[in-house]
Amino acid sequence: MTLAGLAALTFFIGRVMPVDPVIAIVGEQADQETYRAVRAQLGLDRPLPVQFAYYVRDIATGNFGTAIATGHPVIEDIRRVFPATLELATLALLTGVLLGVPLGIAAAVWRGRGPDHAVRLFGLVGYSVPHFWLGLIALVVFYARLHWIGGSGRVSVANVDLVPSVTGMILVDSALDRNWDVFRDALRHIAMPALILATTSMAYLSRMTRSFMLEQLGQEYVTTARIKGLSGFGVTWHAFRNIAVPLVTVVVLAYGGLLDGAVLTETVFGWPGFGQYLTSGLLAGDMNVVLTCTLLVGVIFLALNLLSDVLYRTLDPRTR
Amino acid sequence: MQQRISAWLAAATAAFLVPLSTAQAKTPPDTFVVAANMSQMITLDPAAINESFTAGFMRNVCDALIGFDEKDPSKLAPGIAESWTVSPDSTTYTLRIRGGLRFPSGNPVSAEDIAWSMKRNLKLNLANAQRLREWDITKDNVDSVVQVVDAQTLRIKPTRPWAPNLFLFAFTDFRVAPALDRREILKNEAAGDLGNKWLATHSACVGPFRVATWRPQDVMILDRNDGYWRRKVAMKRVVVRHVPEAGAQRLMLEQGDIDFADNIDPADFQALEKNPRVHISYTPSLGVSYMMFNMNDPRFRSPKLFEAFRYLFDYHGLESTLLRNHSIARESVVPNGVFGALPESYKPYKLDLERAKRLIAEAGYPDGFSAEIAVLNSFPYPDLAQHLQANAEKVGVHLKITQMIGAQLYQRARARKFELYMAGYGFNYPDANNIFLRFAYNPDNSPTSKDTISVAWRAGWDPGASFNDAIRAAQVERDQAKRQAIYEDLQKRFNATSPIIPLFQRLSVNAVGADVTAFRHTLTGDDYSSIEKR
Repeated sequence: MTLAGLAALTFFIGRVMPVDPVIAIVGEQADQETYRAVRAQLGLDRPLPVQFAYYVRDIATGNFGTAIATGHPVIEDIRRVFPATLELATLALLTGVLLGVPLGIAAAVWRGRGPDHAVRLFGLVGYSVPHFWLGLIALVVFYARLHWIGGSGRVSVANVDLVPSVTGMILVDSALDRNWDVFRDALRHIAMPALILATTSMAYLSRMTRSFMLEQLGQEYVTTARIKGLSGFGVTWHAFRNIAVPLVTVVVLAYGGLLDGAVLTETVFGWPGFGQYLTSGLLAGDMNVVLTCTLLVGVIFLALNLLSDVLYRTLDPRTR
Repeated sequence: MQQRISAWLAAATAAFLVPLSTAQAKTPPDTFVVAANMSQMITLDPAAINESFTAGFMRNVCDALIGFDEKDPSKLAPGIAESWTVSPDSTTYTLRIRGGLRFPSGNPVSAEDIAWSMKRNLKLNLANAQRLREWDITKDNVDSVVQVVDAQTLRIKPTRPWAPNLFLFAFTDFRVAPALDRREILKNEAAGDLGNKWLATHSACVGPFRVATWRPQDVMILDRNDGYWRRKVAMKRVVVRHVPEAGAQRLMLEQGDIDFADNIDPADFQALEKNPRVHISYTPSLGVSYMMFNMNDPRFRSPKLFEAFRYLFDYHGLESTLLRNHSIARESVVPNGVFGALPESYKPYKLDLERAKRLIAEAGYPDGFSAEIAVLNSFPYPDLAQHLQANAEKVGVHLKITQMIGAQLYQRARARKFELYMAGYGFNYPDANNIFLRFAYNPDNSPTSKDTISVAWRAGWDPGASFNDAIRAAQVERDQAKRQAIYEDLQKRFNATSPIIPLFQRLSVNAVGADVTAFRHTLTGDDYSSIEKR
């Protein structure tokens, strides 16, 4: 039901957008004869409800159409670009969790003191600083000045297509192929975009962790534990175990945000992923791309919500 | 405490990144690495390529039937056709196809392939069918116009006695009459598409390179065509990476990770000029910027109004500041370097607010007026529009700027739904005929006209029979001096009456690494076959 609503909404918004997909195909200089022929080929000369009916029929049979920008079926394109984003977002999430959660705990433990202020400031900056700007600054400092990271793209030119594509994720494929030069090169290229993409999730997770931890640290069982002489670390660990359930939900939803929110990071770092693909489709008025990507994002969020529910039930026996 | 935490964070970042660090990069000596925004590249099929980036790039893969002289692009040179003759009455062109050429598949190139490609272009009726139709070669007459005499001889019998020097320009664009490997293409035909889908991602031409890999919006790899007929090509491979961000391209060039950055931000030119690791050069292109009034709006019909706006631009101030090394002022509709152009010294306009105000009053607006100007949202158009807006305000004209992406703006132009309009335009070949056909020829100014490609039609400008007739007369004028004189006269008449105001001619900026010792740029694109590296 949600997906049907999403498809209908996106379709009709797409059709009233003042962007002409025919121009994207034939260009500004095509004459009227060509323009009309291509418009008819795309079915754009039919009434809107008829176009929608055809669209629904096609997606029901798994036909999501062809992308203007590539000439390939949209599903094939998504299979090609999605692993790049999945790899980037997964690494960003891991970074976000590994740094954001401890920072949130530290902020809660030292509430009102230096670490807390630092983490809150970091959270504010992580939310506020645009990825686009941060990416360019990072390229200037870490790529151009210090030579610590690779530049644009997933690997250096010398390593393009050197490992067979099995999963589409270059780190995984190079590891499977035991080509450690490519693996190292891929790591050099993914490190900074992943770190920058992770800033938002780090900020978000540190703030949420702090908030959850503060709630737990104010509970009576924590006071009891302290009175009984449990060490500071023991108390923190005890409280942390009790925030695992809401934290998992937050982490899973943050993952969804990373998957569809990598557009600007992908643009700055020339990362050929899902975000760039969707943006190009949008700018060209390519509704097959926009509709399919929107539906996919919807499916991802639904799946992640489902996963979050399952994990909730697994981790918290009271909800079973 | 906070200092300690900061130190720990810095150390953590370094620990994460330092192990990955390497020395400064250098591209392989036999590989030319390009960074470009490839978003526009949507197909490699010559019949369907509709924009200048892909066309310029694919000129390195598909040779045209006729080439340009390398020193003077307004002159013709042999291409796939090694020679040609024209009958005295200009109605029969006989082209000798170069012998011994082979497609990457090994199939020999023949006159039949070229004739088939032209027919295919018209049958598919995609973006470039009109490039044949504008020479009156249509789907209905192509069989009689284009004839195969034998395997190496092609005869073209146009329906009009075009000026020979003009008509042959039609074949300098590989999209008009490419040598396509019909046998290979037909093997990959799907549902009667004449290989359109397959050619969208493959190449089947003769040129200095062939497409080895293309992943849209990711990477394109060209491999050298060994034994290329024109010259020995030094680069074994050309790799083009999709880098949409201009700042990232600049950094990659400075680091030596690429040899050529295609989209450097004009604001970076000055800094790059001082960098010894980078060479920058500038060559004129066939791209222009212009603005126009919509004469379908009854408020905008006075030539005095159009003349007034010609005095609202500080052409030379902009050329030396905002547009430095990006564009040059060009106050004629025909760009420099094109046959028929008025000399570069032709500069009749300059910023003159008093004169503009007087002309606007004479046009019937003593108190000025308000209007919306639709502007392409990429550099330099919003800046130019702001410049115009500021000057117009001083003479009582209130302009509201509305920025749009190309697909949105061009739709408005085709539908004549704008008041004022500002954008760019790329011409196809360096002859004034191409410019006048697009910007002035408009025999049917009615809303039902089929010639929506005409910018004059989009502006609702009926130039009149004498203007249209002069353009048609120049097309069949065999005497080049007389043809030049017709075009010079038309340029002056254009400025006196047209609602279309030419502004600037775009420069092609070539930012290459210091290791590149030879790289030829032409009016129509970059020639990768000319590249040499240290």
